[in-house]
Amino acid sequence: MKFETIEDAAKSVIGRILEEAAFIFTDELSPEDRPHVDSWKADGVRLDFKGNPSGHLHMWASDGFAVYAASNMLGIDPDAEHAKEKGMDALKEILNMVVGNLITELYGESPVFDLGLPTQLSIDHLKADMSDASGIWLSAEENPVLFTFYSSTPV
Amino acid sequence: MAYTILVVDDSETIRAVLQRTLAMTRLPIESVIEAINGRDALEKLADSWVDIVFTDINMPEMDGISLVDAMIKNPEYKDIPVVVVSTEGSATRIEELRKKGVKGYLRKPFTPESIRDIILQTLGAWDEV
Repeated sequence: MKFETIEDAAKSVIGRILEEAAFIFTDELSPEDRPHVDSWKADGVRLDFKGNPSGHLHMWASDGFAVYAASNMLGIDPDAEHAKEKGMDALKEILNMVVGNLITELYGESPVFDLGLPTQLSIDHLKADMSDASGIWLSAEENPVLFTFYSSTPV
Repeated sequence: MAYTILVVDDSETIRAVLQRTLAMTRLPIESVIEAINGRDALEKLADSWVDIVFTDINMPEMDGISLVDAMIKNPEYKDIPVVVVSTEGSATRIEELRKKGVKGYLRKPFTPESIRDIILQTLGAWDEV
């Protein structure tokens, strides 16, 4: 792995995927700029991977980010009526690309991982994810985005 | 010769992105047919002549590997080239796919250039462009 920590690798992969797939540029989000758990209206998605190790990623983003990502990926006006309904699918596909590229970055090209299908997270998971000290907070087009990563220890 | 391309992905976003990206390749594309999983793809293949199939791996109901297996077993589909489009980067997985007869592998996120190259390589049509 060319990065010192999982967080560094994740930040690099997430930044690259958002830029290449959705033309969105990111910055780190400082703790004081992070949203409050009670007021952040966020959508969350989850993707599991199975192999050695197994684990999952969660991604949380505001509705505004999801619509912006969908409109960029699909080449449609973000104010278009159908842009909002495309947001969740765009979030799922961004997470799918992040997970596929991140596990290769972390564990190399030899192991085979089985990726699950992205699913929408219940808002009940948001509080725990927002308090995860290793969570990766980014600012994307002035929208907060949060990624949390969990993996079992490789055998 | 204009190509008919079958795009198989459960994500509406990726199907739309592939449609857009294919249009940017400047290749002669007659039509792009969409399918939401392997089973749907087999139904579309029964209805239409297709020059090349782009398929995701992970899809509900029938995944991309099962689709490749089903196509190989069918004499009418076994010679249609299949390109897998996936986020996965495992060299072991890609080699497994090649052994099954998959002609190309395209990793997400992709570019118009990478799609154009893989179509031309797969269909062996460099001279026509």
